[in-house]
Amino acid sequence: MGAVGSEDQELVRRVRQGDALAWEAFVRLHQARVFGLAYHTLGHAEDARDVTQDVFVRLYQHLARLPDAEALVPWLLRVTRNACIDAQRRRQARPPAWDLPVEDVLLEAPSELGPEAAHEAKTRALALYRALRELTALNRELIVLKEIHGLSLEEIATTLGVPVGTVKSRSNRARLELADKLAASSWGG
Amino acid sequence: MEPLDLTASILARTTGTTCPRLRELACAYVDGELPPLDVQLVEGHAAHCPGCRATLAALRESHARLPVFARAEPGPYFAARVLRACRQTPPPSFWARLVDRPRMALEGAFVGVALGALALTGAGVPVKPALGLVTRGLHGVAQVVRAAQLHTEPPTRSLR
Repeated sequence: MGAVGSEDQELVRRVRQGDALAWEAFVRLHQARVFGLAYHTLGHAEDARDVTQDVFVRLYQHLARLPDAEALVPWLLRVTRNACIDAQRRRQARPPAWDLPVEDVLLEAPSELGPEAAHEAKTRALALYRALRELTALNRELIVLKEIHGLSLEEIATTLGVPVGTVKSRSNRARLELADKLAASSWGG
Repeated sequence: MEPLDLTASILARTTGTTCPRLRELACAYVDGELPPLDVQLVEGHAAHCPGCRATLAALRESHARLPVFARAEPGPYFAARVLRACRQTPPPSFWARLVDRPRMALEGAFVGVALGALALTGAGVPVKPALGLVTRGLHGVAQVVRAAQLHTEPPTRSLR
């Protein structure tokens, strides 16, 4: 995970103390990440919004349990993943709809590129996004946690409740499956 | 006959195709975790194998581009929706907040040991053995507190 600054530490401290403005900033700072994981897990935008809201409301009720800033993101992702599992248990099984507009999934287009290079980058990212959606739920989850959110193998093992070695071998298989789908697509050429 | 064909012919009569071995090393290669000799072996195979070359290129590209999907936009008014839902949720009571503190029980144990020590000395137990008992008790509680901090779990069923 990325480095945590003193401002992040201070924000968490203020949130724990019940500062309403700090809480709003916290929600705005983390909602896209929580929603991103929920959407890639559930495949339904409104379900992902419900889960994201549920995560923040429950968090609000237990602010004292908020971990320190450096452990926050892995913790938040674990909480979100478990909330997604609860949501999937509550509702009837149905295939993912992937109903979120692509622009809302591709938020971080590189701004320093020229128009042609930016278009090329977007085309490749879309090919990657399509391949990601074709993965099995298990492989997609591993890719989302490791490659997208950058969790360490140890953090993923804690999240999934499996040994680190298992995470490593499964995640390598998932990465190869994704690479094969990409290589087989027109992008892979 | 081209050298590539000769190599393929020899491999066909010895190890068989070596692509599966490359796939075992491919992720570590892309992550830069392979020792130099393995890097040479992977690159040597990929130079002559278009399929494995494409796999390595796709692995490299996906590793570099996937982080752009970490965040998704839930909608322009979503933060307001969350904040409204939080406002409508009754705040936890003083006791609920107190009990919710993960170290509450352990802190209680800490206070209990200290009170026990006071009671022992008050009951006429010699000060030195009582102090040794208390020190060991406090040390044990502190160890448990540190272990609990490392394994603090999120609250509630949904937030486990």
